[in-house]
Amino acid sequence: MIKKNVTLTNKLGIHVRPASLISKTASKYKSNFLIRKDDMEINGKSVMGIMMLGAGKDTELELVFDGVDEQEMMEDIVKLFEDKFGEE
Amino acid sequence: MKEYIGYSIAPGLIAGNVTLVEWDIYKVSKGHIKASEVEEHIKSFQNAVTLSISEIDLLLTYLETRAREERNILQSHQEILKDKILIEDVAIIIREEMKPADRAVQEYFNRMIDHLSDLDDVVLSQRKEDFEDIKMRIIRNMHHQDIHIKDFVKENKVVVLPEIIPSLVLSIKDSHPLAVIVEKGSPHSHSAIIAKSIGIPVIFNIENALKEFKENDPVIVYGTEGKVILEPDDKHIKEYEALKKSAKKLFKEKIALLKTPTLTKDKTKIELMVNIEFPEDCEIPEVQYIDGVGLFRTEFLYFMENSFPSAENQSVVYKQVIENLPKGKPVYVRTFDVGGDKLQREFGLHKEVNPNLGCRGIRFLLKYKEIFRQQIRGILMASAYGNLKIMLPMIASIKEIIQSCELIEEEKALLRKKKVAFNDKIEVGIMIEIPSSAILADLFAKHADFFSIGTNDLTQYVLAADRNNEALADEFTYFDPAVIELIRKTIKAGKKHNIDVTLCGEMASDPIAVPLLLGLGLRSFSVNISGIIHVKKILSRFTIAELENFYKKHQSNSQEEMQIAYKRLIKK
Repeated sequence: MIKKNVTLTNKLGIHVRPASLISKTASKYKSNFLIRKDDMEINGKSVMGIMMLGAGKDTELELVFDGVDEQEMMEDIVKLFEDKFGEE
Repeated sequence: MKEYIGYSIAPGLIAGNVTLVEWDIYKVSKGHIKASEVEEHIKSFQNAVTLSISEIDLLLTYLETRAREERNILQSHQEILKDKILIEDVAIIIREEMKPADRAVQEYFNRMIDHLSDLDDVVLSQRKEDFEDIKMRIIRNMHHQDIHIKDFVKENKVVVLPEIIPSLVLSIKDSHPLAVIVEKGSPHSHSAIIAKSIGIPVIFNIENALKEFKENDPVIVYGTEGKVILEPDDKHIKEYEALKKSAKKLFKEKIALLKTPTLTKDKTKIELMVNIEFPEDCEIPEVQYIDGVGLFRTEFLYFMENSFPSAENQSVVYKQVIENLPKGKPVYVRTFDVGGDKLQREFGLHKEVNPNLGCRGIRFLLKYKEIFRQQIRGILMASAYGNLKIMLPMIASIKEIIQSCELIEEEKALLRKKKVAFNDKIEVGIMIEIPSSAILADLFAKHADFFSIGTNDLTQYVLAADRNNEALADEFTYFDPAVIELIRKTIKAGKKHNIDVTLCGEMASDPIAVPLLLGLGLRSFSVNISGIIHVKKILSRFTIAELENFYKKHQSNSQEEMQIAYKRLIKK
């Protein structure tokens, strides 16, 4: 299991497009993927789940990867956050 | 007899009898379902989701290159619809709470929307619109699985609907109704975009139509005007029949007239161009016979999606305009003329007390250079395919032209490096709409490839009269001698420095003003689509010499006298 903390830096936070980008990327891997914010924990492979986080700019999130391909999955997902989902 | 006015969506004139279609596709069922019905309801929900996904596919194909940003939004909606968790969660509400499928969908999304509304984040809480949209789409598709278009659209009838959805618009024409009238609906909705091309008159937003029309009532539908006449009297019927009879003849005559060159009575060639707002505007037949697009407003690119599209996406739109026009015709692309008042939140700008005198047009673009660069790049990329020109709005000083040209040159260098084709000799001109540029037109002309006079703003700035203030509208017009003098100066400076001068404001489409402008020396007009024919006709009625003399005789007139004199002249 890998845990990783990330901060949202894109201006609009996680709206529909980033949410679908995250879930799409996560769904390519076998491992489980959870996202935690405060006391919320959701399935990172679900667009609806991610949207429910209501994560705006500067929110801190904990990403939890667990499974056979967790390393690759983590790298791929973290890159999305670093690239600000291709936004400003 | 009663007259109704709505939004014109698709043109055409037709008389017929109405057939009313009443349904409320969004009303959800009440109460609970029986255990034996659970699986059936889950199935109906899943079908609606599948239908929604393919409905978006259809829309995406239709939109193709039209609206990239819109496509992105629709694609993300599709992602949500494909979410397994969504399917499971709604199924749980149906199974455990024994709610009917449509109600379950409504409650599920309402919970999500409530949750998002509770957040402090303004931007995110606005995203609830996405959920609202998806919710409606599923519910609608659940309800109209049972509706078959053929059951309610009757051939040779004018169909009146409470609302319309994209998939229905597409299938409606197969049932050959005479026209479509819709009670609600925005002219910018998907349905409206698609309805433009079904080939029959379509009018949206005829309020209370279903309440006030009775089955089989006779109506006349004026698609172009967005007008419906209920129970027309003899006068209207006669008028309609005459119109119908002459419509065919008129259309032929109109096209014949459009095909002839635009000349004054003494055979002076006049350039007649058109102002457009959307690329689709070029699909109107008139546009095929004019000399170009004298003003392509680009603000819609922002307002459609509330964000500035990338250079690549913009170039697709500019190319679309070029491709819809006869080869080689010029297209004057006016760069974004948006003001801080509309973009305050996004750009963290302070509220402007007077946005018309604030950070708009070129001021905004030079402040947010990346937005400007993306647009310049988009125009340059499309310039390889046709005669595009860059038109800078709200120029008040020569410095602004120089700074803009520097950015344009930098973008050219970048494209050169990337080996992207573009027109290196693309013309860069300015709008003359701030008095300073008209007063010193002689100096500004040395830095611009063309002038385009924007009379609406010029008038408001010269006379310090807000053009949106209705109480002032009649009193402060472009017939004011000071405004006319600045127009004259601008035309003269253009001639002296051998650069093109065109006029794209309302004034060019005003029949009374056309002879005045010709007399002032203007030889290029950019008019509204609806003004093409009558401006062309007026241009042919006078000789230049006669109009020059007429102007000389009246040049010291007051605004009111000027208006009266020219009104008399065209009535002759």
